[in-house]
Amino acid sequence: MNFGVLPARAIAFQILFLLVAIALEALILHRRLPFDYKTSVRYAATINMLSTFLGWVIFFNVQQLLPEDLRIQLISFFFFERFFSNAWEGGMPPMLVVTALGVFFGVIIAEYQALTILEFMLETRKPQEQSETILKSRDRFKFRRLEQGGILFKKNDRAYTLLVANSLSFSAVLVVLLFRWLDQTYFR
Amino acid sequence: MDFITRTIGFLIGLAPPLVLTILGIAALGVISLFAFRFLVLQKFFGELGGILKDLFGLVIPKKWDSPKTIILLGAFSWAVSLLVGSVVQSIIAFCGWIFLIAGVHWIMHDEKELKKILTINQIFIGPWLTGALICYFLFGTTEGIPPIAFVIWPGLSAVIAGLPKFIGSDAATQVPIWVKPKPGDRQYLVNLALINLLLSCWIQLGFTTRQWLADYPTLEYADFRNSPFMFQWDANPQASSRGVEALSRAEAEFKRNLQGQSWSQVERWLLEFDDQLGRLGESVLNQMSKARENSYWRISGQILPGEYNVQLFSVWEGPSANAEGFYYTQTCQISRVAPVDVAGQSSTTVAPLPQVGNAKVQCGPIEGPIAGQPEPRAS
Repeated sequence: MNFGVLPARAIAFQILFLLVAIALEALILHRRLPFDYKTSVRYAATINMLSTFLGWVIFFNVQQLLPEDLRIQLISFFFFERFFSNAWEGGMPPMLVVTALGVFFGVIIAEYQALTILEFMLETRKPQEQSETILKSRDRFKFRRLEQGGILFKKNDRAYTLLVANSLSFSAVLVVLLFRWLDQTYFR
Repeated sequence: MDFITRTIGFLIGLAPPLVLTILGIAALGVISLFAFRFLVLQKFFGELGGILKDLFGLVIPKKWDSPKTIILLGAFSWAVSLLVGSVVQSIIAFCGWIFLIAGVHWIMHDEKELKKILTINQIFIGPWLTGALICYFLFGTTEGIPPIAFVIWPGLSAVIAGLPKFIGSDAATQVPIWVKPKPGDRQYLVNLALINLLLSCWIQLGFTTRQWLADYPTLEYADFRNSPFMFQWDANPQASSRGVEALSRAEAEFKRNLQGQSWSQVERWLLEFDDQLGRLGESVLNQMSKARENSYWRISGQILPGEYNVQLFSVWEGPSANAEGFYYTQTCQISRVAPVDVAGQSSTTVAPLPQVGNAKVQCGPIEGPIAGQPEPRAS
């Protein structure tokens, strides 16, 4: 077997992004849901790995079904980070944006389902009142400013929490990608 | 005379004890030699026995229900399977594999020393070894191990690693039964499964990119230094040999078309240069080994000034790191010669060239790879 070219950088980036996402999402989960530190890190790890796994499964299936012209675009982007100039070239950036948006909301939905199922499986779901008290006792000082500022959000709302958490982690990943782009463009 | 007979008599009388003595010494020697040899042999066999005993101690199980029994059964099955024919052999080898896998899995848990060696960072890697064995058993063939074996390996190992949490023992009868894992273990099990599924995905990603490279072999010679996802272990600066191959096939085809043709045919061929070259390129790409990338190779050419210089190109129009592609080029000269020269025989008489001579094609070396696309030169 010839190990000439391997997607090692893809795997390295994935590990980095997973770590960033797990750390940030655990922070948000801990702040907004009644989990202690350890639990929120574990839950964040689980839901992130699950959504990543689902993403890979979809990717592997879709790349086989793509028409040849689109597939060469995918290969070109994967190998060289540039689009290949054929009939699809002009359509690629919008397609990429739509795909990224789809990934974002897909990940939120997947993580929401995953979190619900996980709590059901682990039998750790606490009754509503108990979570309320935990949250109340915890953020006596946090979020007061936000509440006074009039931003409307419900406590102990999973979907909203995951939206916030994923917005944060995706933004962080974008910042990392921005650094990479700066490094590639100006520091070489 | 008498003296002599007496002496002989004396000597004969002397002989028996002498012979006896000699025989005695010899016997003693032989006996001592044997005794010495015997001692050596005894020592040797003693040592050998000790080693064998230690060896057997390692191999032979102390009690019958031990992993060594099963591994030995596996080895025994293998030995027996060598003796018999095809179908029976596969059946016995099959059983042998199952014995071996079960035994190896058991011995990794049974032997404390082994378990200590196999525990890295408090993670016991035994299940992954068993998983590798099972994958090899299930999918391995004489030709090699197919990708599916590698892809399934982490997932299967996770199942093996997690299985003990699903098995409890019945309180009353002490019989093992399936149980729901304890709530404390479930988080561990979920994360174990997910980590291994991710590993499977990464292995699959490796195979997917291999498939891409198999469809587009020229890409493997590209520059991956700035690639976001791929990493090149051994720098491979020389570009694709497929471009060289295409061009040398084009050269051969070009020569087949023109070599030895009459000069007027050559001129007609050159008049229809674009059409002819299109046909030539098509047949060249059909000759090359089938790959999806073939549609991204193009054979083109141009007629240079002079009588007649033809430049051939094999152009890569597929994806590349610099977005421009690259090409190889080669210049061929068509000259008019006497028929004998084409056949390779030297003519002794220096005859003037006939009015209508034959064409001889000589091609220069292949240059490239040159980045970008070939620019048409004014002809």
